[in-house]
Amino acid sequence: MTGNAIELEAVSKLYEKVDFKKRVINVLRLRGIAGEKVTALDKVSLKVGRGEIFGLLGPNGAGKTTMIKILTTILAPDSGKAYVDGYNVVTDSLKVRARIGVLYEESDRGFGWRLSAWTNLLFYSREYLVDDPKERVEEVLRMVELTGDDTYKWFQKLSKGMKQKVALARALIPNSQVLFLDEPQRSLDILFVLRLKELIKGKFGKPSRTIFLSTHDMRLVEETCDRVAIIDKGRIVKVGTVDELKSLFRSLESVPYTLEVASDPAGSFDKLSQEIASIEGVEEAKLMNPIRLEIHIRKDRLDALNNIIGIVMDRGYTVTGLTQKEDSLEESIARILRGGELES
Amino acid sequence: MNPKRILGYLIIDFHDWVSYKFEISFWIINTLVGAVTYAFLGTNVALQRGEQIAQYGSFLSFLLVGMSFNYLIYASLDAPRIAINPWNLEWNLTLPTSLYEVILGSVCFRYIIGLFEFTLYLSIASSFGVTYAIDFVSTIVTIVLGASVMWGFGMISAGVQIITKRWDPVTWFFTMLGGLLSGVWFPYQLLPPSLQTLSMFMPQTYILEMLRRSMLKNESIPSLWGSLYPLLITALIILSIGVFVYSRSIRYAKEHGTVGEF
Repeated sequence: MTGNAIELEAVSKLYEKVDFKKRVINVLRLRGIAGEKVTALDKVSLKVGRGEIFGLLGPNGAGKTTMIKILTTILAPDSGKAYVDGYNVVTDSLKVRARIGVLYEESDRGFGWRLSAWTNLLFYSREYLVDDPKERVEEVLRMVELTGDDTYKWFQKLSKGMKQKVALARALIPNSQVLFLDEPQRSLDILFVLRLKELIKGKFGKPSRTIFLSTHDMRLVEETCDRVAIIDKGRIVKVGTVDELKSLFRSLESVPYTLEVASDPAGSFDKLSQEIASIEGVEEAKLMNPIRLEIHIRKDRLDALNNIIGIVMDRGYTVTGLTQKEDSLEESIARILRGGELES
Repeated sequence: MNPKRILGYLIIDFHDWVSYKFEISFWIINTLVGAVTYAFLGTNVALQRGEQIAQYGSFLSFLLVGMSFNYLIYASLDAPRIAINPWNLEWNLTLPTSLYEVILGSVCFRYIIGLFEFTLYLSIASSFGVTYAIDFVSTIVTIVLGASVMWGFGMISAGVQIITKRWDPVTWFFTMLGGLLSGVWFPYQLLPPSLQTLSMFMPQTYILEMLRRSMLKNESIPSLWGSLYPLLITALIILSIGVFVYSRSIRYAKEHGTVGEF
């Protein structure tokens, strides 16, 4: 038993590509035949506290889904140990399953396509031994804003977004202590994504719940997660709060600004950028597009801004914006994944 | 209408068909076995007067009991396979429901339908003049034991399918060869001696014989004991092997990440 909601201790997983014949021979354990091996998780250790909203970010094939499948007991790790709500995912798998709700990436699986959302969810309520199955189905359907006739339509007749809502509702049925969400925003309309963010922040009506969120949507992570782990090639490369990750590459020496002009009829904006770069206090001036510059100004020479605006106006340009550039989570993560050196 | 387009469909279907090499082999065998089965049936039109048939009253009563029980056999073989459908297996393994609850739960409805078909066949036969002499205890015991054996085979079949994802030799063996060898359509004694030897290795042969004796000849458990205890032992062995193969296959799929694969 551990005090964390989720814990992984040096968990590794290799996938082995073997053909049909070798598969049959291997399963009979007549002899072990090795195929090509692909590392999905490489000695991953991670702790997620109770009640935390934890994000897992990484490129395609980084090991996000493998990690979720191990934690939800449908995939066995090759080595290491993993615990959910204090229970070992291999030796206490039934206890783990009774304590989790799951939204997999392939969220339309496990549903009867010729059954309504209501009937499908009622089945899951019964399997989770919910006290009042019908009431719980009503409750989760209201939560995901799926009401009226749509709940009685065949699952196959629902739009992709509605199917995703039903899958989300299924994940909520057990009212579990730990909720795993793999790409929950997929196929959802903008309005419901906003609602989803609120639901995640409010932890779907249960503040003590732990949420483990895997997604490519940086905004979703940025706006909801307490902490984030970056995974790449099966390894955790960084764990921290959103602010910590965003500020990883923030320079202690300079401040980035974005300068935008209305137009560049003379086509000399590039020349202007070189002129700005030569102003005292300006470290760098990069052309972002034909009418936008990114300018890095030394923190002790912010007065250089006056000179910059003066030159721009002298050259006949109309300034439409001069804003301090915010740290971007997306950019930080991209730099982490590219193996960027930390500046602070 | 352009014949080139029609040809396009023909070619793509052919390519798809030849991509399932195992299925093609078994399709050829199925066709041959089916033809042989019906040939035996067709060449024995005078079966009603046969010695093996006479003891059960009529060919109709012999046939109807065999066919109706076949539905229960399919139900037993089919249920575990349905439970491990890759579309649902991933979710079945995510629920706090044990694997055996999943299988038992999936079997129930299939059995109810199977029993309905079984009863329907017998009722219709009755309206055609078939008379039954049923010993209910021995009939129920035979059905339960027979279903257990087939359930065991169904679990072996499901286990194989978890690994192969498509090819299912066990169901094929019992549904296809069962019709020819085990006496569903005609007494296995009519087969050539070499095939009769194979019949001896098929549990359905014993199950069907016991069922006919208990339903048509009112034979009780003591009188069926000679066939009953080997069936009991077979049921225990096959069920144990079924549980072993099934759980081992699930473990294999979990270790190799193939639970949700087709």
